[in-house]
Amino acid sequence: MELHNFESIYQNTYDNTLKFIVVKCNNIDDINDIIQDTYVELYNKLKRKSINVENEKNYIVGIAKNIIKRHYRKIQNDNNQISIEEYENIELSDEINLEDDFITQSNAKEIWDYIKNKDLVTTKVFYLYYIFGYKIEEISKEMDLNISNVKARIYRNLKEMKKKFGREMI
Amino acid sequence: MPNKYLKEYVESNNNKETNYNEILSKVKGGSVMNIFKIRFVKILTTVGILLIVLVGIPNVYAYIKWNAEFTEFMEMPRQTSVGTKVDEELVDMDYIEKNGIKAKVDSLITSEDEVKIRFAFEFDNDIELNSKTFDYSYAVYDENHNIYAIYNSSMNAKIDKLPELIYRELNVEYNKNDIYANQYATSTSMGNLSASNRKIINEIRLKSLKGFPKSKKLYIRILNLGYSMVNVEEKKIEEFNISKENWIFEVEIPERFYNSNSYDLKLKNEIEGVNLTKARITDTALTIVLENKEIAEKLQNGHTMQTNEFAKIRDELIYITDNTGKRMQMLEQTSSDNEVKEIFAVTKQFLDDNKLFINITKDGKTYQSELIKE
Repeated sequence: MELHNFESIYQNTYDNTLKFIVVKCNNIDDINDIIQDTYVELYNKLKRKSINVENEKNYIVGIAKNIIKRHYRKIQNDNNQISIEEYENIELSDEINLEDDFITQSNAKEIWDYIKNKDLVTTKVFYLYYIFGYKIEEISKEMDLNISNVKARIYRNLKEMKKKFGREMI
Repeated sequence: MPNKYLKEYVESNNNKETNYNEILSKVKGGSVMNIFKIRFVKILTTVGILLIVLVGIPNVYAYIKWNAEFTEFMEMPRQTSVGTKVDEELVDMDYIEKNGIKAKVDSLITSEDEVKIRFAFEFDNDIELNSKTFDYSYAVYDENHNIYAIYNSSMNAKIDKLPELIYRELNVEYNKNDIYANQYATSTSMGNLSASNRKIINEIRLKSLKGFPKSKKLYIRILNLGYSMVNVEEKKIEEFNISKENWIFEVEIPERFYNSNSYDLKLKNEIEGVNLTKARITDTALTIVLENKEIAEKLQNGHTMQTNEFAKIRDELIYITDNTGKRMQMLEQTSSDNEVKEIFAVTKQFLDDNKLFINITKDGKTYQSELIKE
């Protein structure tokens, strides 16, 4: 296998694989390790033999699935399930205020650390919303949450963060 | 919309380029120099492979190895228990006991798109176990070899090709590029519901977007039971296998569960502004889906209210009563922008001797219509 072939596959599939890992991982800090291991495994597979990969994205997601399983030993931990329940009955209108102008270059690290300390599902919702730029409906589909649950997670936590970090920019 | 500052910060530690460089360094370099090395190794390998191919050894070797693995799998000691699903949840099944471990399927909940299997495990005192990391491989399929799901735990796995082995045993085509292609479950999860007094209640939950088949019998197989521990000194995770058995649980599913003859209901009298898109009653529940923007918005606006206050309003918006006026218990409610879905605890058998009415409050007035068979 030529290195440039691998690079081409990498470039074409990276975003899709990253999104899958964000949704399935048990810790946002593990993303780099998992994505690197996924592509190392892909590299080794391609190196050993030619694989007829009709759908590269699905094939690599399959590898990522196995890497995640190996990494955590469990598909989904109990904490995930509990944290989903916490927001289940909250309903929000479409007109919720999702202003984020209190996030600045100087407090981005502090705010991201704050988000990472939230429950895993909420951290993932923020990752998909703010890093990938996904719409709420898309996040709802990817995370298997209902739309109001996603809205509630973003709205509540933005409100908290605004209270905590908003004053610093005045 | 992405947040510029958060995106910049997160991607400063985690981006396509830095990850690519890390990957290259992990695959033995990846610098320009290494491309030549890789090419050289590749040429050598190709020549080697060609030589081997010429004498026909690899295929024979792979075939023998694979057959040996399959034979080993088929010869694993098997422990079988047969039970019957007796109600919405419970399964009447005896424990299988082997080498200090007892296991049985305690309950099985099946619906069109979800299956929950609850196991009860009991462990003798001399078996070391960490319930927090307790894990196992499983395969679920039915009498027609429809595969619901296969999960391969790597927990000290003697059998590490479970999907391939199960597919072969069941004579189902295996697509190595998409091992999930012939599986009905589109998402799976497992976890302990409780763990105390050397007893673990563990649940597998399978969901299917395309729906599960109407199976008369489910085969639920588990193996590679084990757990892991963190070795603090050596900073690594150690895995321990506690059973080399192939546990097989067969659950008979009576016809009333797999062929529940659900039917749809409709409004006897139309309610203006309300579009009832689904009213399906089964042996277990009544599911209502309707479109009405006003009701959906009221439910979505519930976040501004106290929980009790919201519950009161929610319970008045849509409710189901019988001919005596008694309200049916609501089990679940979800809403989106224009649609509301509610599930009520009432069965189709109830309709044999009773009537059901849907009550909808809108524009400050409550409208009622009987729900009749379509």
